[in-house]
Amino acid sequence: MIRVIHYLNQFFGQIGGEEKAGIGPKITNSAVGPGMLIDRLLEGRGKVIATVICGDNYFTENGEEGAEEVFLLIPRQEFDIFIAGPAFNAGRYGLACGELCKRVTERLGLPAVTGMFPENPAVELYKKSVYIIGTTGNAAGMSKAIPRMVNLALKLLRGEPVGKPEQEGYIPQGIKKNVLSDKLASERAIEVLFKKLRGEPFETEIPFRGLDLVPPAPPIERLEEATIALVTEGGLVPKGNPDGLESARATRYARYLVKDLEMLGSDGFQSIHRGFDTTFINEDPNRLIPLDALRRMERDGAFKRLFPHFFVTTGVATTIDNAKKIGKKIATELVSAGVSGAIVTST
Amino acid sequence: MDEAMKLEMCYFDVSGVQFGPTTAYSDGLLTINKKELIGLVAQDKRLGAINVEIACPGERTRITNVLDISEPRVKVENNDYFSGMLGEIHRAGEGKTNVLRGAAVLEIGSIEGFYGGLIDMAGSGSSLTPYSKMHNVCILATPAPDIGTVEYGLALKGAGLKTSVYLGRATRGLEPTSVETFNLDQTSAHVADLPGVGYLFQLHSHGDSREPFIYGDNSRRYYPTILHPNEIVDGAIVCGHYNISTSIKNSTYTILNHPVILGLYRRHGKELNFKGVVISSEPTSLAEIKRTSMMAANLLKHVLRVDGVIVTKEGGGHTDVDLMENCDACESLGIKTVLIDNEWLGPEGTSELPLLAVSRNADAMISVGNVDAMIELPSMERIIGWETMPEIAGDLRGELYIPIRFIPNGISQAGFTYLTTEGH
Repeated sequence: MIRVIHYLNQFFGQIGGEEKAGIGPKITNSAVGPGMLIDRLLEGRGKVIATVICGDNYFTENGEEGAEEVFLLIPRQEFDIFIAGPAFNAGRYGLACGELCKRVTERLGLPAVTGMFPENPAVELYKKSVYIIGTTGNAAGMSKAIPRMVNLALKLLRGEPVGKPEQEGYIPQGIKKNVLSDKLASERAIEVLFKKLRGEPFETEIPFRGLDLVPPAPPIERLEEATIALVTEGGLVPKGNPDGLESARATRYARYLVKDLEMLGSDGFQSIHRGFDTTFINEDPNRLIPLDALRRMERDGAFKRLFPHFFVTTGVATTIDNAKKIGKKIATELVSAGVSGAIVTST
Repeated sequence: MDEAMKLEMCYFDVSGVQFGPTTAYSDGLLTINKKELIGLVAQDKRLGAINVEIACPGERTRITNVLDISEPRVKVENNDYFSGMLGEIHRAGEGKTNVLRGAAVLEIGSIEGFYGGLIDMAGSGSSLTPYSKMHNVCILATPAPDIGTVEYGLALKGAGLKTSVYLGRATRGLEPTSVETFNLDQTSAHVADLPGVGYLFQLHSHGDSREPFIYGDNSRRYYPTILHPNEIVDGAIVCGHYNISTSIKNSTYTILNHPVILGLYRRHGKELNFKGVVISSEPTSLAEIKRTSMMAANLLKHVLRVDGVIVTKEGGGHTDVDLMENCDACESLGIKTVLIDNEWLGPEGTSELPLLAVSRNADAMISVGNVDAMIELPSMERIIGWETMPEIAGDLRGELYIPIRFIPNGISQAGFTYLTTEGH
């Protein structure tokens, strides 16, 4: 028997409207409202063994504590599938459904599916971590949404591969999975070229995702008062790589003190970057991080001070997500230390 | 001279490989005199300990530290192959070439800075690469003392190529299983009415141990130039990059059996007019990349006169820049362009941008998969190669959970893979 736990807000849980949005969580050992449809769909193979109901405001206004209080009601009994909502276009309800599905998936390792209108603000927050069936904006689409939610949850329970969004009805997660085609990539390329040559419609397998342009910062007005920092993605680390910085696919960065150094010696530093031939950098690390030249300029008063540390990561095959995180963290450190300009050398 | 370049590929199908007293080919069975082959490889004093092992499809064998893969071949007319790399220089792409089809020669070595691949001959990993279905002759060699990465790589390259020719010679005087003729006939009247299609083959060129060889010379020494497709499928270009992950370089086997070139060839005169191939290096600075792409597009447009082109890249994110510059240069001359590329999406396929450079003109792209995606491999009984590989933790004999980028031709930037991505 497939045991389902269902989550509803105060409205669909038949407690009341907006005036009841502040009520705390409660649990009922049977299907309520839309849960009846889940029971019917399972046709005796399973049923809703518990319905968790909570007011929208209670869930969203009590932060982590509120979310955890509601979540902890779910694993009180053994179950197989968690279904939340659908929340349609209700923002607070969507947040509760998304958050609870995420916790069930990540912490209990059990299938969890919800449903929302694609423009529900919770979709952007949870679509990568949770399967969200696309619904209409209001409850009129209930009878279409619930069967899709149940079907997908059953598929997850059986460990079957999940099809494309348009087949299963979920909102695209922005995730791409490797699959085997029935044709070689070269053959697909030739077929697309024919379509393009004939002026027929064709599909790309890697869509254009837009340009991510970074506007340049305004020039430093008074360079003689500026603190300048050195930053590189060239993998320059103290000999032996004491912090074990990744030589490719970096997930982090390091900073090294060069306050008392006039230049970077080849006996003290090396590049562990595996995206280029590091021979010339290892002969003279100042070729990657021009500490020698900047010390001269610092003495000559071209700027006020060189920041005592240099920052380093490894820019090769790094995912854009990680690269953005690393860049933001370095920039935050620099700004909070009063650095006004950075020289970023790339390889 | 209106006679087209003519190449006859004489295929000798291989259904088994074994060691024996004499190196010979008979009825699909390739027998190898192991001692004689080791003696041949050992002539190169840059190599230390040498061994040869055989791995056949279905065996619970894992081959590790695979640096390149070639195909046993010999040119009938001069009893040699891989022009410019071995022996005297001969034009590739004409005459008769004997191919031991179904066999492969693997170069296996290990030194800091080399990034090899991993091939399972059975289990789930064997569905991801053509090399799991082949009879593999594995050449294992350590560097001699005081030999650095570049010389060691060159010596391994020589070992693999010499072995390929040595085995190919076993077919001399024998009748092939089948023969395929490559003759890019441009003379028949209707060919001219078909759409003219070219192929722009980008070759990595980022320094020693990081680039292929063209007739024996490093790719970085070439400006964009036109090669006859026959030359490429007949040994003019070989893989030479050991300091690069296996997923982002073209193995010699891939180049010899280049799927884009063969795909266009087999449609020539029927659906399209295959005008030829432009090979192009991938320089390291933007000014050089722009010059190279300008020249390559010009050769395609105004010399080969193509209407459409397929462009493939070789290398990491840096070479997305070359790919996009080539795309822009071709499209700006009115050439319909299709690109093949891998994606960089992180282990879960969730990363925001799949490429390191993009262009609005790149509206027709074929994906050969997410290099970062993880695969599970079962344990194997036997290891051929080293017991450790860079960036793979744990016992190589046991179950592995690794990114697909370690499987040669799991990802194939030349399009020699069935892998692609699907949006979820």
